Amino acid sequence: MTDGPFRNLKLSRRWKRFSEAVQNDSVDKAEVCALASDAFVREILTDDAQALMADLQAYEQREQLDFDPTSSFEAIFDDHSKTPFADTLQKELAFRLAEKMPPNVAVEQALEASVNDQIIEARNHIEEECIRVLESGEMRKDQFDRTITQVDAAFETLNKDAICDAIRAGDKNAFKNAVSKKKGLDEGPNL
Amino acid sequence: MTDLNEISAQEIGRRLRIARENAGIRQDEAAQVIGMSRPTLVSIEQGARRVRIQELQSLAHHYGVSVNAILRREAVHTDLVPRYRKLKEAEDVHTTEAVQLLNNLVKAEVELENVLGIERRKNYPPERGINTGDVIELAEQHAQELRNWLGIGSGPITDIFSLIEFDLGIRLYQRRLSSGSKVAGLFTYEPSIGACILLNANHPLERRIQSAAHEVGHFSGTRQIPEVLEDNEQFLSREERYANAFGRAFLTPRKSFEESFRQLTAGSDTLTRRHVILLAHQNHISREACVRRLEELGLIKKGIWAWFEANGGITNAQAKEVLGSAAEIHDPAKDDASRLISHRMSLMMHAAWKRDLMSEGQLADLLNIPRIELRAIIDQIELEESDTDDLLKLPH
Repeated sequence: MTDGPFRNLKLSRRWKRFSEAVQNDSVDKAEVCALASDAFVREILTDDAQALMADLQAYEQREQLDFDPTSSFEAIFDDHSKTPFADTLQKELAFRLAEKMPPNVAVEQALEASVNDQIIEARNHIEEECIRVLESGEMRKDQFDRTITQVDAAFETLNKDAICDAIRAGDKNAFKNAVSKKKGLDEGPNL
Repeated sequence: MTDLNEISAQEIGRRLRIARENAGIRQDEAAQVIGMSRPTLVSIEQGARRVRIQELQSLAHHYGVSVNAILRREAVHTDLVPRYRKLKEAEDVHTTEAVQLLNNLVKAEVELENVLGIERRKNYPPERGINTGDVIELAEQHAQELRNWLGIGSGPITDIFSLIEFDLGIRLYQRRLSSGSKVAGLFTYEPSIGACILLNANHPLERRIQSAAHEVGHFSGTRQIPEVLEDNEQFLSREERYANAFGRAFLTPRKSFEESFRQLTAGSDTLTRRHVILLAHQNHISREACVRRLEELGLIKKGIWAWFEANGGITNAQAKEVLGSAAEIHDPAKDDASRLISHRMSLMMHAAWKRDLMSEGQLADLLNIPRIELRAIIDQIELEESDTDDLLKLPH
């Protein structure tokens, strides 16, 4: 969207689009929020993560009583590859199960905690990239300060419930409409 | 041909120096050709020693020009190339090509005008200078003052090329540069021949309009400094920033542009593609230039063009949807640029040939085209003239 340092951030295409939008006054807050949510959900929901979420949901929906949910969940996680998100989710779940929390509640709370954790990770990653381009001289200090402020503000306004719902349902396209390009003749940014 | 003795030693020395520099030959090498030392050649070029006819013949032959081309009274013995040498862009192959082309075009046109006795009317306002003050404010002020001086008020400029050529009397050429050339335009000013602009005719019309207005900025503010306008220039000097701002202010003066924007967007809380297409069309500028000018004037938020780009841009199909057939803009200069030589140059060349003022060989050399092509152009004009004459015969 803009020339200069924002193009050089080593981020995925979607996070780059977000970081460019975040410092563009003409992009409204709701659009920025949708871009972050979309980038986040798509980054988390790899094919394997989608399969993991489907298995967790299947476990929650089964009617059979489970005397050893910890082992069952371990087996589910062992069937899927390790990702930072899956790893965090497994740890959060194991901790709650050890506290004798009912499995369904434990999954819900572990998911929320993992999403929170990954949101912080994503924000840190963007800010580290900004620091890198600041130190390499590609970004000015005023651009850096402004970007950090705007990124923080955007992450504060994220709708975490909507993100959790999308991840739980394995729905990569949950924010697709909100971030789709507005190409109409009578569409445009706010004056 | 002019007699050797009719020209002063200084003048012939100057012409020999220009011919040598054009051929890219060093003084010591040239001196060897006529079997003398470098200081002797220097004294010939400085006019301290008159060149002998045999020496002149040898040097001309070595420089790849005819003796006639050096001695012709009407010939243009001005070289624009050295003016660009101090510019950093001049080392670039595309800039060299553009500078050489401009040089050749100017030389050919001025010589043909001299031969035919055509006097070019110049209507130059004084050079403004930009040494003090904010360049953007200066550019806005100077652009409006030039508009007032030309008597064109504040409205859109329908044909900036005619304005440059006929109202200001600047020599304007629109020719195609190599396909990969990043040169958009050139400007130079030489007191004996006036101000000259070359635009890259490969670029679309709206882009050339922008480049032309930019070059008028150089003409207005910093005439004495030659300039090369390149695509996506990273470093912008004070002169470049002035010329950029001048170009925008000249094409879209703040007051009238703001007024048409307000009228067009009245009652709307968004800037739609339709608004941009209509406003750009009204002002004969590109859609990008239109949005960026609105941003610059603070009439819309910064980054709106970036928003459009991120959302698929504004397409030609959409412009056609809004404007209908008016979206197709006639661009005669582009057609003219596709010819081997321009229509104007062809007609002057034909007139000089028809009146026996120059031979086919001299004209082919002057215009840098093969004789066979030159002959084809002459035949074509002759044929068209005879057809036109037939039309004028009254029926019996």
